Amino acid sequence: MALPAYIDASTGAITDGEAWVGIATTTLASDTTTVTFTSTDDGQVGDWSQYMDLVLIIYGRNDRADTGAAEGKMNFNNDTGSNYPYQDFRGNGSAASASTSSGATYIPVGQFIRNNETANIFCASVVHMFDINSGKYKSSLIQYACEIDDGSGYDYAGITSSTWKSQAPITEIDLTVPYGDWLTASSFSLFGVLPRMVA
Amino acid sequence: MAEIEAIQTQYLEADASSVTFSSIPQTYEHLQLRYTLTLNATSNTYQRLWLGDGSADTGTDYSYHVMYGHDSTTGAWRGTGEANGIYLGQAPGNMDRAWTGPTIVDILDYVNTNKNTTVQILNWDGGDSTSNADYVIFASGLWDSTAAVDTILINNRYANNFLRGSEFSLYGLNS
Repeated sequence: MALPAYIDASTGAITDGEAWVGIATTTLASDTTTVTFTSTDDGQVGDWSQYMDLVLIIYGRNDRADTGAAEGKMNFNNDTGSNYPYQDFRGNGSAASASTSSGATYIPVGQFIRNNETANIFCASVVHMFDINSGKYKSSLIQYACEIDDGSGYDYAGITSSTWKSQAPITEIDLTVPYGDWLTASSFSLFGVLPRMVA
Repeated sequence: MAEIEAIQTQYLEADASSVTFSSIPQTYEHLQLRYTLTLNATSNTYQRLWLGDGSADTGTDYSYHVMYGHDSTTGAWRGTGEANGIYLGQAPGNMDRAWTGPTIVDILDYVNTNKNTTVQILNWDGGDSTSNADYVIFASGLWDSTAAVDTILINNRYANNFLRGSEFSLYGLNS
């Protein structure tokens, strides 16, 4: 098996000390129902088995012809069962609120503006997925920001936390939005976070 | 030099009462601590962060602010002149041992001897939405000292052990 470029083939030493490794970026050329990232199995940078954590940065918009915003949805390994308990905590400019679910079928990964709102506004989300190759359940922390700029009360900044109740490694991520698609030009960047095991 | 370097990962192969990072290189601008933790305990309880130069300062030199979401409620509290370190949020202890709670701690400008050290924290206790779990928090903390940070200590407020399999990674950030 070929070694990743950041490992010296003659010594086995890591030559590039970057702990965050850019895996892939997708910028949509057309409206898209599902954005998928899948691990390779070749020992290269796209092989998630070498990472401790994953970090996903989303800058997206929903193509649905409606006002307001709707959540983004994330599933792992094609699991759409009721295996994603979560806790959300947000503010909309006038009040803080919280919500929870013990049996969600996906992880909410922030709020994304719908397409009848002001053009060219996209919403941000940073998703941290922890210890993705462990035999434990997989936990995530999400920070998100969606500024609609219309006083509608759908402008949110918030934090979501979630656990995927599976002890399998994460090898696939699927991202969707309800009642529509991700709008053209939405972007998705995935990073792997390496550990450093020292004696 | 890389912009984000992994300094050290500590993977617990046995239960431990605390985790310490010592002799932290003074060559970065900021630090980020990332961990997933399960407690060998019967309830969810909170962790404490202690910082130091040479050894962890366990005096009353800490303060913090916390805001949280829990079930359908929100809230906030603070601590000043704290003898219990900086509040890091809870980890699961009352559930199946497969549950784990994640935390990210950013420690800013940690080598600057003209500034006290401020940290920001994201934490979730890994909750299952059926108990008193499900706290997600965003918090700030202050070590009221201008000393450089070369030691980080994390332990549990109620002396619960960290369960084997818990994992702590420290990263250094440079621009």
